[in-house]
Amino acid sequence: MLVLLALGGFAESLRHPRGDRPLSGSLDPAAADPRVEPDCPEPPAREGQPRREVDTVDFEDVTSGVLFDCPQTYDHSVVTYRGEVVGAVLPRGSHAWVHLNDDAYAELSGPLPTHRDFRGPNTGVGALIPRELAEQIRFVGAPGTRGDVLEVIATFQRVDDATDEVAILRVSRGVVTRVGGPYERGLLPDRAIAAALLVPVTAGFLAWARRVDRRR
Amino acid sequence: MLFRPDERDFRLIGFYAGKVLFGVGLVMLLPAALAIVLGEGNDAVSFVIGACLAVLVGQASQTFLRSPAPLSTSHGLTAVALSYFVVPFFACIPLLLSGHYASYLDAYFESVSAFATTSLTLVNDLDHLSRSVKLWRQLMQMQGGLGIVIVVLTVFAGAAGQSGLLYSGESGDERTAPNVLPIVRFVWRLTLVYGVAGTLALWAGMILTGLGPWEGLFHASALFMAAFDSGGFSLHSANVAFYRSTLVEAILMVLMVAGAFSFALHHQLWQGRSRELLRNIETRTIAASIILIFVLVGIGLGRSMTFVDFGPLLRHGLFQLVSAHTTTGLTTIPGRLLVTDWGVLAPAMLVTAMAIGGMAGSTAGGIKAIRIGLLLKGLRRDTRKVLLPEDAVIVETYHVTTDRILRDEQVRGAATMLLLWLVLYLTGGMLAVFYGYDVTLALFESVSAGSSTGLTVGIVRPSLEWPLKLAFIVQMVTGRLEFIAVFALAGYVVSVVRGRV
Repeated sequence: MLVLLALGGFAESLRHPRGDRPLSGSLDPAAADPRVEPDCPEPPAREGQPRREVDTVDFEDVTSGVLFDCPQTYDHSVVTYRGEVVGAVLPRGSHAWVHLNDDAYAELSGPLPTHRDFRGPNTGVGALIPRELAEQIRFVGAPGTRGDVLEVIATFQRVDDATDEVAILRVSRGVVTRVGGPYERGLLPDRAIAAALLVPVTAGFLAWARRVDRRR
Repeated sequence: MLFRPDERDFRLIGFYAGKVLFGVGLVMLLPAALAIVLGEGNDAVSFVIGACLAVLVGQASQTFLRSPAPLSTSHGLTAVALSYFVVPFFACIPLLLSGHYASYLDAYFESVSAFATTSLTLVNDLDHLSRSVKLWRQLMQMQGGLGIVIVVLTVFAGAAGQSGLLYSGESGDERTAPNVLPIVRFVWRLTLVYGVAGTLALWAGMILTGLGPWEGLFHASALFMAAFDSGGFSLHSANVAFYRSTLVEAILMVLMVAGAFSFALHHQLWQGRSRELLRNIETRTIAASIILIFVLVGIGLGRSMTFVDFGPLLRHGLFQLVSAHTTTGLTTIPGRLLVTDWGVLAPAMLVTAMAIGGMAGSTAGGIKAIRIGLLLKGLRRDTRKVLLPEDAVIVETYHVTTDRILRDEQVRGAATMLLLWLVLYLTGGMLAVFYGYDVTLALFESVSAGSSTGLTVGIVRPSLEWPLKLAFIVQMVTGRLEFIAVFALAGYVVSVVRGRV
């Protein structure tokens, strides 16, 4: 137990620096906590009852949280959405698939581990964008790289008839509102020192233990 | 009669747990090497630190706790259970130092989830997580799926004489052959063959989907480990949906099913006995279960009008079902939609599939098809006894490698285990209800944790209450080791406490 406690303390001491103070502002509570009932403009139909035809109106500045909380409300509606391109751009003929994250790491606090403002898991939506928009993307969110942020006008498809994909955006047009780029992940000196000390200690102990084993 | 372990018992247990820790520490050097190649300096150093600590403490255990005493069943079981709780303390160090986990507890949870092949995750900002740490998450799953004891035994053949007890403690295999190294070597060979074929197939799928060759290879190998070892960790927050590819999903379903087959069944197929696939009680039980549950999932999705066309219903309904039944946890839809758009019947059927799980002696979790099959056979036998004349001789048989006669003690054993599993599932669920979660969501998450599946409706997240994190940790390990090993460890812990009181 003592060894494990010491281990925990040692590991905690080597963590990344805190960086700037956590930013104020809140996440979409429904997306964060499943105990919070989503406040959908149109309540979902109960199982076995026909789904009501919802007027397809335009919605501005939706988040992935509200789209997934109220998919029936937003189905086939035109929405505006902003998100960081992450992972990869996957070409499909005249279009391309991207995943657009709209969580705090995308635009508010920035990617980890540049800070310790933990805002939860990634949240985002898959989007089928025109090839011309895809060609404007310079950076894709990845380890060490902040992705471009796209603002798109799209139709939310709960189930896309053409591709059978679920909960995606069919983008009609969009624009790159922020260009991404690499972010610094410099080597932390205390960690390097710890490793530099541990390696010879471990090697020495292993050599000693082997000698002891041979003598036995 | 009181259980009074002495110093010799604790030395033996510590010795073998130390061996496992040492082995896992060495495996950490693989992601360290990748981190160096990719220029992920901080992570390379983190892996070196984690590896050194694991190797140091593991070797110290072996040097100072060495004992000539023979390993007994209780020692083996306890050593395995202790390994699953202690090893993640070291394995999680690179995760914590990656900067993507809010606390040591979160990193420890992730590590336990990986070794237990659950894939419930507390990672923050997965899409920016370094590749070496992502590889480590997959490697932990692989070690857990194959059995970290197995991983170590094949490296440290000095444990050959004791390997049978450790192997059965982890795998739940009732055989206690004095030397199971031939079995272990077959498992490695099988994994290698599936690994090469599965990774190549996925690689082709990744390139077709638009990923570059090296990125595609990385994704392919990672997803192979996730699928075949019934792990379920993905490289992106969108999970399998990220690839937007029915080909990739189809290949993954084949690998998930292969991972849910028992190694004994694989051995039969390897030797050309393909008829075993049709005659084995477990394959028949799982096949019937998948067909029946899929029909009910389809009815549920149809009634809730989630899918109106058969194409997407088959694609997403079947994938989620196979992922649940093989207790893998990969998914093609956002988890939130299980709550807001999949109605009630379909998610309930997924819970049933997770609860049943895969085959005994495979990488999958859950109650196991063999127990369900034996119970159903027992029910049939008892029903026939009632219907047929009293002097009729009722013999029920089942097939696992050979034809066997169903015995009362087997049915009783299966019923006992079923009861334990149900208690495990309900306990986690009720604890989550205590914290205010809806009972249906709580049961979903609890069954997912206990059966080592990892599908989530959103309860397990970084802001989850810490007592629930601890509860799910215990559930995941207990489910992975199927109770007895954890009970053995608990027995030792109680004896230590009682000895001091």
